[in-house]
Amino acid sequence: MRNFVKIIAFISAILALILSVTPLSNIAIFPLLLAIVLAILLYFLSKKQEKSNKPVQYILLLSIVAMGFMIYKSLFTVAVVEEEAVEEMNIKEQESQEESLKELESLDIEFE
Amino acid sequence: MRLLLLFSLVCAFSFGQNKTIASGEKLVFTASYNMSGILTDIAEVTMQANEVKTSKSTLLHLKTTAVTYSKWDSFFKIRDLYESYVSPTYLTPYLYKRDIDEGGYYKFMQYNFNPKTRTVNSLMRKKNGKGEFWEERKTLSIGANTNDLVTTLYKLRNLDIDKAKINDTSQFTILFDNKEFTVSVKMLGKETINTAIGRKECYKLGISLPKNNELGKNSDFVLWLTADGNKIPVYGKFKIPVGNGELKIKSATGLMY
Repeated sequence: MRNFVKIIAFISAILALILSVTPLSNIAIFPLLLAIVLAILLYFLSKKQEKSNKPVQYILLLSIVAMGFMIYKSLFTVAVVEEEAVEEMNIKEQESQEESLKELESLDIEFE
Repeated sequence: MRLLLLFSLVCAFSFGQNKTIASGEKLVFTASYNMSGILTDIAEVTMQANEVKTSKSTLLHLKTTAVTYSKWDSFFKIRDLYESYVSPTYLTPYLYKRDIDEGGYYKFMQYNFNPKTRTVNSLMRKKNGKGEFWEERKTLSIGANTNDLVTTLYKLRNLDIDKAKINDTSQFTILFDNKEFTVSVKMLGKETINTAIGRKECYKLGISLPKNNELGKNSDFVLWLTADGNKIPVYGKFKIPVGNGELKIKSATGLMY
């Protein structure tokens, strides 16, 4: 039981850490909460079985780092469109408009 | 009797001349997607209307772009461009273009409308597995009230919503991927909501797509249009089979009123 909890807690903490550095940092909250809950459970199981608390410390350390990334990104990262993307779209729009004007010249347009 | 019912449905809201869209109008939105209950900003959507002149006429160029925020570009890059060239008075479409690039998937569609003969010359361009482009040209017959997607979005704003009662419905026929389909727009009521451009009284509209639509079954949209002369879409909620999301206004400039 203790080993099972330990493995799942480690997996959750590592997953939370990986997600927290990606654009999916918002959803890192779910594995993060799971890791913390399992770390607490692991602490009591270790105490009951008189075993080392080292895994609990590592899990909590990973969770704290993941939480740090998550909080930093949610507070200081602003969703922006890159200059390059704006430039790319401007070129695409300009080219499309030039082609469209040629097409429109060839169309028979009569308004109502 | 059926015809009468259809007529009454279509006329529940009536569409007249363009009274809401001014040349130079620019609306910017943030599109968010619901990931496991948490809304995440994915892309910036811009809707612009500008006048363009040809040697024979002046048209309104309706342009909608969708660009992913920089943090998503390395995961799933979106560079979509939807355009329509319409008559400034009745928003009759003459040319429609859809140039989409979504996570490496490329597609280009062009419709040359001929309102007199009610036909559309369609051009589809796609990329095959080897990265080569291939084209398909078709001539399609369309109904008298069929429009492209972009024009429909703008025509929606020109409905006489102020005269509509709750549960009144209007139908729009849209040509999308060379197929015509009808969407129903239902007046759900009036609501006052907080937006980035202030607290606005809005018309709440429910948009239902047919079950065999491109987006799959159970696709529903709810749209909030400001209850003023501009009828700006300030907030939208969408539900598609792969999840749900929101569209929120960020800024609105160059408005008519």
